[in-house]
Amino acid sequence: MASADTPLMKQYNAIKAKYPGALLLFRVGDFYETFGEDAIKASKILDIVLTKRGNGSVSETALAGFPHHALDTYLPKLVRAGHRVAICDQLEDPRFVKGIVKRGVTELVTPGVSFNDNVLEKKQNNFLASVYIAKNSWGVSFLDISTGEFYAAQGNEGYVLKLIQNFTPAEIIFSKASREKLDGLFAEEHATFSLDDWVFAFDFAQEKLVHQFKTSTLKGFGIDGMTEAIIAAGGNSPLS
Amino acid sequence: MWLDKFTIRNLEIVHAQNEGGVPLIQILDQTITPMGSRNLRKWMVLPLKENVRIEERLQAVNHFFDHSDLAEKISEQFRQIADLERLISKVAVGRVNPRELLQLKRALHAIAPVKGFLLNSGSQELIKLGNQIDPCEFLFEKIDRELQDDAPMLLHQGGIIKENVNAELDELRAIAFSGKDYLLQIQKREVERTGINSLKISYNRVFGYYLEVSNANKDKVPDDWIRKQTLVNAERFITEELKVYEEKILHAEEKLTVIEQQLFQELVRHTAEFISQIQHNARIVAELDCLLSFAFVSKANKYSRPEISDSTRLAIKAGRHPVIEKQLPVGENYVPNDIFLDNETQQILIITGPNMAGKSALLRQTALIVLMGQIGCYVPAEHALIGITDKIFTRVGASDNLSRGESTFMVEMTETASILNNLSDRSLVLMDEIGRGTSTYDGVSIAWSIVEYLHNQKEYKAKTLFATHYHELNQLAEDLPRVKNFNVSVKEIGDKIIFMRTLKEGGSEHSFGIHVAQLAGMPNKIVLRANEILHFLEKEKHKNESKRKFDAVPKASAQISLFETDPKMKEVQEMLGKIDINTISPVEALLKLNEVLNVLKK
Repeated sequence: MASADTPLMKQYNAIKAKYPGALLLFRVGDFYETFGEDAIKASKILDIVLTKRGNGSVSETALAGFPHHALDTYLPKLVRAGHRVAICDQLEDPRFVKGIVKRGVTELVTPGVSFNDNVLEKKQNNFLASVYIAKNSWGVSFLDISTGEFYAAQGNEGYVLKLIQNFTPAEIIFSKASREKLDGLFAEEHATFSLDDWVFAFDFAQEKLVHQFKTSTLKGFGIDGMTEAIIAAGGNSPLS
Repeated sequence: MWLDKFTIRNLEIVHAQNEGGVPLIQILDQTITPMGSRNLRKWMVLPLKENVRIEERLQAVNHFFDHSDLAEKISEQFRQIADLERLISKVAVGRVNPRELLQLKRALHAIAPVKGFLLNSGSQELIKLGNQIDPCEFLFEKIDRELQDDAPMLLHQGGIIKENVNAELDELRAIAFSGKDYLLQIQKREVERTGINSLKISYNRVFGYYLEVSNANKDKVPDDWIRKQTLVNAERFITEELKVYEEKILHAEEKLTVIEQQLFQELVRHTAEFISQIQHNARIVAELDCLLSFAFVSKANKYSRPEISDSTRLAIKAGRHPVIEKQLPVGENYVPNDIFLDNETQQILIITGPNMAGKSALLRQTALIVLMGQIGCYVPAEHALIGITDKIFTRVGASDNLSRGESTFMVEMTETASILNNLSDRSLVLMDEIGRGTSTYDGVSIAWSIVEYLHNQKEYKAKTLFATHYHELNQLAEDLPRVKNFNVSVKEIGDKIIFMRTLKEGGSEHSFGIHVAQLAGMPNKIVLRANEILHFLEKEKHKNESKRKFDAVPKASAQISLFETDPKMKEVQEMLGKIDINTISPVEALLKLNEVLNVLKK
């Protein structure tokens, strides 16, 4: 964007940089707005008007938005179209603030992580699956945040693929390193997302799981290879 | 139980393969709660393989089957439970609204009596489940005491908390309401003072509270009233007094809302302490819901209780296909069939017969009966003895995957390969029309060797139903003792054929493909000409020669030369053939030996 960015756009860009790959809904007054590429996508998916901000000035940006109370109408459509959506709200009451009001992302909604009744299917779980490829075996775990169910397993490629077919997750995540192989396998039928490799490390995972389940060891559960997997999900969701 | 990835699709367990198709889950799902539905789905893709656990479920289903009044009582309670599982998850993240918390309360209330019903049922399994229910009475009472019975969905409009819960709240409410009372009094007083009977006090967001007077009475308005708004038929005024009270009321209302929100969040936090008990309750409800569904469906569709055994026998008497039997037109009944398989005497059934005669249905219903039995449900048969199966493999129907660049045959071979590489002693294998996607001789050969492999495998005797249109395979029954021929019978009456759909012993001779073509509406010319050609082929070559040909197929147990079949060995043979032992030097001989070893190592 141009160097003469308004304070609002500066704030927007800072937040957008933290959530690449997600569509950012930016609360401005009574509206949730999307800018730039996001706006073009949103306008198409939601059938809302694509307009401009800063018309005629140097930093003209595409804009599409909807009133805040219609969030429950529009959010499911975006998620169903396979997008990850970051919802950024105003964190302070604008009446009492001088200068620009503080904003922050209050929720990250993805096809696999959703509480919204409009996105969820009653008769089916909404699983977020996480896959990790180790040298000798694959690990996989499933998390349904709307019901609190969590399953983990480990085995060869065939076993893991079969489980994925069984659980039909809405979204599959994996490390960036495995992206080529796994995107090819899954992208056709599932929403996918890749995360940084450090998320899939044993210590990190072990710690998070122990904390989540409040046990001192994970002996009672299966271990290794796969636990890393779901932690990624845990890290993602508001639940953690 | 292992259901490989093609099986779930091929058997249409939770998804139909074609649009408008009906998956098995649709037939079995008579659950009342969404949790039950989700649980059923899980049970169906992960069937059990332990006798004890299956019996537990069957016992419970049995009990509900025999005691429909108990089933009805519990179902009645479940109808008020809604999606407890998802509700409590929302509590966990603090994203629940007052109305949802009310639903939670109602659910808890509905669960309490269920515990009693279960404990008094007299059934071990049900008592076990009943003991795990925690009615969370303390929580129920707290919510009942504090939450309004008609609490709204939104948090910022008040009307959430009951009276006598919080002193400050009650006080503020009193002010707000009495303030309104006082306004009424003002109204009355002014009416009397001014004599304007039609005087009203109203409220709107722009002006707040005001006195409204119709134009007719405009002149009766006293001086201390301040005019605020003029409308077509009336005028609106305010007074000092009015504004003071308005201030009090609005201030009270604001504070009210804040306090109600705080109290509600407190209530939610308190509820969160019961999360694991409630989650557990939800699991039990989900399980019971599935068991009730099984009982209901079993009764309605006349299923029978399967006998689960540790043997490796599978004996089905008068088995039916659970989905197809429900889709037949009125008046037509599904033709039941018996199937017997075991590892010692009748391991592989080769089922031949015309197209459309019901071979595929037979295969699928066998698998579905085993599946249904092992998830703890009754089965569509007069009787079924099910030896525990730990894997079901299917290769049913041709499916192209053109978008991935694989032809029908490629897909078929891939699927078959995955089956043959993963067999076990308690596997059930269904193969339908193997070899369809390639030339007849290739297809027959491959099918032949697959059957032999399945039969001769020393470690695993996988029970197999092999449906095919290659009658040549009937020959296998003569050489392999545990292979038996069956056919799906068809009666020829004059020119027409009638599908009897009963399984009979013995191979079948004809294929009736031409008849089917005729049924499909092929032009008569083609049908007649096809018949001519068929007769010719049958007379001349087909029957006699090819039978002889297959008679003469060397048996696998005979010594087929190792060099002829293994390509590596063929290469070695060629290499050795080129050596002239009389002129080769010792060093050259060693080098040649090395080359041979390298080829073998490849």
